[in-house]
Amino acid sequence: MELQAGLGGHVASGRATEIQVRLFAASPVEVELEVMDGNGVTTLPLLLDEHKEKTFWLPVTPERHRPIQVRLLTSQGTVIEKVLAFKHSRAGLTVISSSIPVQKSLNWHQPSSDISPVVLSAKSLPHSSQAYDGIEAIVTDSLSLSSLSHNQYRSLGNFLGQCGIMLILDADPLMLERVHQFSGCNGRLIHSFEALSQVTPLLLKLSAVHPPKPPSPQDLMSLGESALQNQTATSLSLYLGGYMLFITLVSWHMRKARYLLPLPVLVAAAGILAWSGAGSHQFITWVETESNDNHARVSSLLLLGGDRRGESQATLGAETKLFNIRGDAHYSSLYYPLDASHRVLHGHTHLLSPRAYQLTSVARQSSRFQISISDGHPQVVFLGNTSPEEAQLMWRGKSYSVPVLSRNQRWQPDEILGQPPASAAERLLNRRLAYVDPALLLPFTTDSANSSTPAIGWLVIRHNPGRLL
Amino acid sequence: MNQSRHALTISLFYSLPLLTWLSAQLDYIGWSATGQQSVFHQLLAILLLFQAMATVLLLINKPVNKWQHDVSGLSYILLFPMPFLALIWLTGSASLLDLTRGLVLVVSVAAFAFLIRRSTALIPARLKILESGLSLAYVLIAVMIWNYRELWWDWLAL
Repeated sequence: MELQAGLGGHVASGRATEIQVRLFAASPVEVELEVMDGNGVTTLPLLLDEHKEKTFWLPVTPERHRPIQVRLLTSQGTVIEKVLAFKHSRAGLTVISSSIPVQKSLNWHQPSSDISPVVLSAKSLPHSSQAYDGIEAIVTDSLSLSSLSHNQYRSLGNFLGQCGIMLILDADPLMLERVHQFSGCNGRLIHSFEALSQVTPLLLKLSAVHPPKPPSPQDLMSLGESALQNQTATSLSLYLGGYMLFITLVSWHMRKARYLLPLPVLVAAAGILAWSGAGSHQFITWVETESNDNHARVSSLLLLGGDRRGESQATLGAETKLFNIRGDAHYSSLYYPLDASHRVLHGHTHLLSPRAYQLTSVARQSSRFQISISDGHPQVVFLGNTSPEEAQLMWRGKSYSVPVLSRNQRWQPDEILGQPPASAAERLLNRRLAYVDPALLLPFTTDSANSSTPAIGWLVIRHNPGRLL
Repeated sequence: MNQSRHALTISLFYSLPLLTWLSAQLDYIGWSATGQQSVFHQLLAILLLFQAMATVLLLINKPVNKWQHDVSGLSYILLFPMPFLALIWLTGSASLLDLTRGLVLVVSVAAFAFLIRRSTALIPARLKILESGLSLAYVLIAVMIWNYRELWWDWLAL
């Protein structure tokens, strides 16, 4: 087994990256690859053919003070164990294609502490979407882009869909237009440059107009956790209160109270039965997109377990970025089924202590609302078929209820009807929004009866500021 | 009031305020693993302390009756907080080993108090004055349980 750290061994602290794993077996064998990183144990079942090398890339989340451990296991036990350390940097990485000597420009013209340049060849660009997590920007050329593999293209598309910044040296306008089409934020963060001296100022300007980072896990927690927690806390109080009331009433009417002795044991056993076993999981989701943008950046908080003591599990998409934010990572595990189209997250959780993970991904969707500025006021146009009933427009620190609109109907808010943000979601959006920028807030829920992934969430549609450069 | 009812009354007397406190804490701490662990650790420490004190209170200064009544009363004291202990285990705040060690400690106190009580029956009628000395022993046990609570909480890793 040979390991190689992705991105030249560089990683933005606390972010994901990837490793290349090369396996070779002298005879056909079924093995399990275990990777221990900041998210716990990731298990990957593999089938190795005789005298054939198997090479693949695996996303990992290194911890600052602990190298990641990789173990190859067979049915007989551990065969090989290796560790891999990474160079951590505080700022997000700026990946520069090795085919252009732009790194000199970054160092000489306008050095900035916000830019951590990493020079990579095209074949070393990330092969998995998760590895783009720590990358702020890519500086490349057409030649490097044309030599990417299928997986690299898909991962780059995911990065651009999430409003990643990319600078292309002497990009052909036709090619640039094509890249804009599959990029998020209406492609305004993809630019061509001619001179190396333009790189640093361009990166700084584009970073300034980059949409805000996804809400923090604490913000997402404030949107939905209390409702979940209250249910469990109330049921525990009722359980104990009911027990005490019952034992008091029965002993009051019973002549020989000693016959009640088994009752506490029975009630304790009932409690253990009720709150043991497989726990549930819940998503609290925040989705942001822009007017006319077909890409949406999805940030979710996954609460695994917490309603029972026992094993809990949730199924995630293969390209979803995952970060363990609460609970000891070493008691949870990720499992890649053989088809690798999805991952299963396992974790042992206790009552009232759910494991929490932050997930980020990109979603493709057709735009239902268009927001523009007309006469200094926001104007909303509905483009879908059925207008949601609970849409709110946030603008200048006020919240406006959007009426049910018919297709292509326009609506402008009346400033007199503006209310201070009332709900936690409105307050969160208000904090994330520039004062003059309008945005729509649309709540959505996925009923647990109709879906295996119960979720509550909010879709935010921001005003498109257009190309700024 | 027989010993069983007496034990039940004592148990209700300390567990009702505990339940009120726990309900308020659960509302306050949210789903924070560290906050929750701390609350349930405190709950276990208080439960064991009150259980140990309750065993002494049950037997102190009472006319000696059938030993079965005493055992029944002590069993009530020991078993009454079982649903609380079940919740502490479900939240992962204490392992089964920690809970067993706590219960062993309370059972030892109960057994000691029970032996003192039974020895009262052996005192001849002309030496009844010694009974006051045994009552004093109960008071001493109660004082030691309270005074050295930090010591045995440490032993129980609470």
